[in-house]
Amino acid sequence: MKNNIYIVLFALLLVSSCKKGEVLYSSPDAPAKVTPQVMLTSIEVNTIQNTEGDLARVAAMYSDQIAGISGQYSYIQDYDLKTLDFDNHWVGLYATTMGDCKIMIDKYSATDPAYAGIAQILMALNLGIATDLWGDVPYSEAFQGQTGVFTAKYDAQADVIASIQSLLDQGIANLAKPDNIDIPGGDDLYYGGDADKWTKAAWTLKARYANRVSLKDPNSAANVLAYLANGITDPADNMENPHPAATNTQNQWGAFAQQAFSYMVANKFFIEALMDPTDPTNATKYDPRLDYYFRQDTADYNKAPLTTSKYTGSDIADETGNPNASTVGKYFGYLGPDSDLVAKNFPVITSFEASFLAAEAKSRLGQDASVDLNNGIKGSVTYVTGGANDGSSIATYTPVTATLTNIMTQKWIAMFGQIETYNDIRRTGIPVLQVRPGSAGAKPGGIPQRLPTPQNEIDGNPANAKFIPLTTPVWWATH
Amino acid sequence: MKKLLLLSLCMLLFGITGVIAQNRTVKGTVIAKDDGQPIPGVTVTVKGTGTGTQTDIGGKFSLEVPSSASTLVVSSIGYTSQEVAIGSNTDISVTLETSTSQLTEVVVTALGVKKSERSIGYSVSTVKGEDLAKSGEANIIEGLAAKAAGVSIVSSSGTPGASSKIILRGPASFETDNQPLIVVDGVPIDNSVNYTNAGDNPYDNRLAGPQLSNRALDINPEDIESVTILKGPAAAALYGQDAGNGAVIYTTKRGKSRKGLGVDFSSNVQFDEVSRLPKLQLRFGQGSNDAYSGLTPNSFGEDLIKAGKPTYNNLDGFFKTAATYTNNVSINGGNDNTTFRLSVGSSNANGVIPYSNYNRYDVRLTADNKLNDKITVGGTMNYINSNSQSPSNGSDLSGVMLALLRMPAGFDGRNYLNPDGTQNTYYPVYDNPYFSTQFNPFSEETNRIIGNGYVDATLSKVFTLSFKVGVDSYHTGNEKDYAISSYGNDAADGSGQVNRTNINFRNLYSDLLLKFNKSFGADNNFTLTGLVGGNINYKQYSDSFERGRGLAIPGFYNFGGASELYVSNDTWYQSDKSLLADITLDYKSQVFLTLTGRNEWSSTLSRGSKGFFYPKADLAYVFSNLLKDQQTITYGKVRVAYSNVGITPLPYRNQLFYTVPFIADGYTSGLSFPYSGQNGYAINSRVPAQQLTPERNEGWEAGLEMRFLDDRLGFDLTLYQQTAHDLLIDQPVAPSSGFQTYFHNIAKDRNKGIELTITGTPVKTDNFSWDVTANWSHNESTILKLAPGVTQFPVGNFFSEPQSYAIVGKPFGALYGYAFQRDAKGNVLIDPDSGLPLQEDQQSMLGNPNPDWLANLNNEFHYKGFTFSFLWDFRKGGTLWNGTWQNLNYRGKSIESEEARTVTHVIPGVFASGPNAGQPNTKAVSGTIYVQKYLGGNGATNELAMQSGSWIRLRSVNLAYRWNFSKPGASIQYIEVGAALRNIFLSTKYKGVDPETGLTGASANAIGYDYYNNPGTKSESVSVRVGF
Repeated sequence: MKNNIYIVLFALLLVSSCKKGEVLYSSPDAPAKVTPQVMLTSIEVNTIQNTEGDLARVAAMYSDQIAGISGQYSYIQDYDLKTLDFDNHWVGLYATTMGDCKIMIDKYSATDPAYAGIAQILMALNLGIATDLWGDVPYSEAFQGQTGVFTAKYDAQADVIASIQSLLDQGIANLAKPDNIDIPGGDDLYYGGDADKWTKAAWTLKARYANRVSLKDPNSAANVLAYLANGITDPADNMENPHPAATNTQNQWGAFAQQAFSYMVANKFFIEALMDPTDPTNATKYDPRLDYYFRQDTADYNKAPLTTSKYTGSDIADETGNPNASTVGKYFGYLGPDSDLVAKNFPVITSFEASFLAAEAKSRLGQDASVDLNNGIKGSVTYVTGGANDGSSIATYTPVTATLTNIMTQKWIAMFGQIETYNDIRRTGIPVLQVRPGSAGAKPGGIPQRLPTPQNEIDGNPANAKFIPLTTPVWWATH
Repeated sequence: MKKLLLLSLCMLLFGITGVIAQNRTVKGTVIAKDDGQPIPGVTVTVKGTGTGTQTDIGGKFSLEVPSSASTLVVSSIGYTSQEVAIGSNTDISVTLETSTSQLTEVVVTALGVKKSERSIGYSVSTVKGEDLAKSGEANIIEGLAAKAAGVSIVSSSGTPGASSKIILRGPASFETDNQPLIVVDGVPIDNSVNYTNAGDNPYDNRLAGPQLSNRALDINPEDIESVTILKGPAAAALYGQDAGNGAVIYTTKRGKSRKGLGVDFSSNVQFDEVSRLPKLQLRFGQGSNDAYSGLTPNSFGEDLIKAGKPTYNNLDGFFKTAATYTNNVSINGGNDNTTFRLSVGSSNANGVIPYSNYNRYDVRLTADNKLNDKITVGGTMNYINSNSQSPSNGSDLSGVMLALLRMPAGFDGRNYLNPDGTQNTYYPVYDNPYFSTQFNPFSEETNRIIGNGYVDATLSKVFTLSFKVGVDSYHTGNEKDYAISSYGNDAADGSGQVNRTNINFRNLYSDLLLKFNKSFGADNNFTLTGLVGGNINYKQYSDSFERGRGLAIPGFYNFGGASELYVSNDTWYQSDKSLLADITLDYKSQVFLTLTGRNEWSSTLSRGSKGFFYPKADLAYVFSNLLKDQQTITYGKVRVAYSNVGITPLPYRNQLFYTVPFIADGYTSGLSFPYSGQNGYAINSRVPAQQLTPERNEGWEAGLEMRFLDDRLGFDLTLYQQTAHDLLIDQPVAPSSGFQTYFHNIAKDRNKGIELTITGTPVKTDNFSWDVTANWSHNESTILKLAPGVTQFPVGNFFSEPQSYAIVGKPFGALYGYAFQRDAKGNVLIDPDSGLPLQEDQQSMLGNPNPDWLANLNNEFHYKGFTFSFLWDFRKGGTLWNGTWQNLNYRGKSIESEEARTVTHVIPGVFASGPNAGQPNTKAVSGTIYVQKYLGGNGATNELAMQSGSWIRLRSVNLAYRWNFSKPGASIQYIEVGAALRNIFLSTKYKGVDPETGLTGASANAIGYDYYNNPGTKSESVSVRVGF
């Protein structure tokens, strides 16, 4: 009978050690409600990935700045884009970034307009990336999953750009409201809650999208100049992705160079644009940014000396890429395979971009663009070299030489690594790029003019998401 | 004819005498012929009626029988049943012989209920414990491979301790892992594979990283007496949703009452070797364009042979012949009232990959005590300590196979250390496996207690009350080190890292059952047996992950020496309660109708939700009693069963909440929180429906069992169809909705198939017997419906391509990717510019990873003390994505790439466009393009890498000799020596490692991936068993 009692006691012990109550029904690890602070930080870190991650690298590849020579990047360099390749990126833009922007705008417009305003500007920035790369994209019916609507229609790109302008206007207005309860501080990684800086960034972004429709809107150039009047002029107001030195906050170009070693190297076409074409091996004639954009080993990984010139690119006309070509350099925090990455911010909206926007607008209006062009170059060189070089040696354009071709070519060099170069090239055709030939293994059709509709949209929203051939330009790139 | 007459006469007599029957009591003892010890739990029934009882611990029984009864049927698992004439005896002694055939007449079913085989209306397979031990597998799941029809087992590799996945009758659910519930002595135990992810790791670490164990591996096969496999959802009505995909019921060995103590000792030594490896070229060195470069991992460099430079076969000497030592001792004994069994086991397995090992130590005590005539109590306590060091697998740049197979011929991998203690490797970001296996260990240790206790109280002749509690509680801790100079750390910069995980799991189970057994009607022709009761199943899980990055001191792995620290944790709780009833009505032991019902309340549905009901019914009809010729047909039964079970979601799946988001693009380790000291939360990517309901798995099965010629030949045929509906899916939604998935009950799929077991004894003499068992099974899964407007969606997001997909009209887990473009005649379309095939813009099904059929054939010979057996295992179909082969082509390391690169190729197909559109391709491509872009899949498709996983293998060969010393008083009772071979022969067209492989392990539903999987093994072993 004793044993019996033990067993009953044992059973009671078991039953009493079971948890009861709420933990059975709601996860103790996941909150049902959060604060605007943690949401803002999340949106901003997502924006970092959207602006400088894989989309930016693919854009740089299709701007002939880098060459993909290994792994998945050799497929992308073959213009072999699959619908699946961009699922993650699309999720990053729509689900984790803009979806949360929408929640913040809806939730905080009344009580915390500063948070709603920043969310509107970040929504505009990210929506811009989506429409630039994919053309018609969902917006007006998007972000309604919580009410069971999963099939947003695709808005025409003209309407999307109008929405971007409208979002920026609302954001500017919200930031101007005096009665904020929660004021962003350290949770705002970009500007520490500085409403003035956000407002300037918003105006510059308005100018970027006014310029984007240069082929469509006769007022484009005038709008650009008008918006820039309120925009960023001081480099201290630049919007930059912050990258303090820690493994989880790395510059994503540097992290890619390190972790996906040899996937991408300098494109010969671009690296030669940073050299004197008549004297390409003369280091004294290098563009001052070359040594920052790229790096070169003097010996290969197994300590064998290299016989190539100091900086080389891989020629995409070659069947097999050149693994000994230069990799990206310290501008992205990358010092080499056996070194830790160093802290290096990544530009999103800058004063030198504003100068190039002004130069292009003035050129279109028939005005003298040379001052803005030279300012853009000087601003870029100063930014890239961290002030070591002010760029005056190469910022020597005159009213005659400040042509649209030179403006766009210099912008292409200055904006290395940003998605904007791919947008500019598709819109203006400047510079004329080298195309990888079929004989080297490229897919037919040349450099893709857009990214393929993501597979997850095709699967989940088949009535609206259509596969569009990669050779079809987006609306703003058509005449 | 005579027999039938006799039978009719008997029936007539029964019918007449029944009215005037006087009952009497027959007592007896059942002992085993082997050791002369009493056997408890033997079923004793009156032939032709349902009246019966079971022997107690002392092997004794007492049964009230009608005076008309002439014969008792005495049967027990593992023994040949016997019919005993009652005559005028009231004290009968029965000696049972150990059964050599697969046919057992009493099976342990759900909740530990023993049923006679004839009474069961659904398909069950049984496996004897000794066959499990004979398989040479340490894993009680892998040990079931090729032992029963309709059971598919895929081990993830030959690494000791690596998980094995078991699927009964095909996968159905997208939410659960589709594996059956594992039950030991009536109590569920956990069989998870515990992958823990850092809270900031965006990737699925099943693709790359150490191979973990399925936790059923903690059970020592030597402790197993028998295994019952309940393939259909029949078990679920009693165990609940965890058994929605079937149940595998292990019954352990218990003590026997005897004189003195019985001691059994066994020892086994096994040697494993790698069975198959991909073939590599050893001619061209690292580099590209026929020139050396250390900045590419590819081997398109110079011709080393022509240049007279040294080459190294880096596979030589890497894999070892690995020894495994298994030792078990058990002591059992007891008297009429108390019995016990104490066993201690150890298994020390070394892996073929250097530094890999798996060690298991377990001690197990089982005791049963008859307190008085009415009450029996008992219990088991099992303590297990297992520890392992596991090699990394898959798409891991610091893993084993990836960096080893890609290692260039001109690089000597054995020279892996630099003078300063850092590694010497051939390419930045790849670790030299000679270095990483030694200096980047993944070590894991589990301490586990599995216990149960029961009280059985006989309330009356009709009613028995049974109460059981079980606990399964374990802690697993693991540590992964990355040495300074290893590129395996998250930043891939050689700065060193240490990851630690702690997991605590507890499963508490309890049931209270009122069992009854009552005969009634004229002649007691009707018997009602069954139970009513309830059970509670409670689980709790917590893990914490700790990481230190940037190590200061080489070789020192403590968080104190790390410059960046990170912690994340996860917890869940689940509680399921139920009321249940299981009632069998039997008519003359010929017709059995069983009805089962269960109502379950689960915490994973919302609070206050109504429970859900599972009905089950089965009918068995033993028609052979009516047949004329009972010598030709000794046994015949038809059966049919229906069940409809419910499976609830995982915990908290009905909630919409915020999470710390993962931010990565697939290439880098990404950005994570706290970012620069700031925390971030985003809305979860999954939006659940307002109300979730359980998934339903509704199944029909019908079977025919027959045995002929005095049981010398028999078969068991089952046809089944299971339709799972209201399946919960994470329906991928367009991310433009702000979410990635909508979680709701919507999908429907179906598994149908055939299972056939044939048994035969072609020769049987006094000294010699030859037994044959053959199993064949075919399962066809079809996705019937996903969601409105959705015809396809991924089962698991592992590789961007190919993916494991559910596609309406196609089988579960179809491999999905971009096919070649083809014309109407099926010719591949070739791009005239490049000479390469064009591929479709949209994906389609490229292969079915589910096998067409599985079969196995076991032959067992007994001659005096000799036993010789060999087991063939056949698999037809089951496509694997041979990503290893494809990637080795791309890297220029495959044997195919050696010659192919030196000549140009015209790829078979027709021109897609241009002046020669439709004409056969004449455009030649260079050797490098052919190897990299066509064979290597870059710019082509994965079609060429879809390879059949069919095989013929000699899974095991066993030879044993046993001396029995049955003299009373002999100190040694038996000695058995044996030798065994495992996987000694394997025939397959698969170009790579043993196709019994699975990258994603047991916990994932995606199957058919081989991307640098660790290889399988073959082995030889010798063993000795002694009984004292």
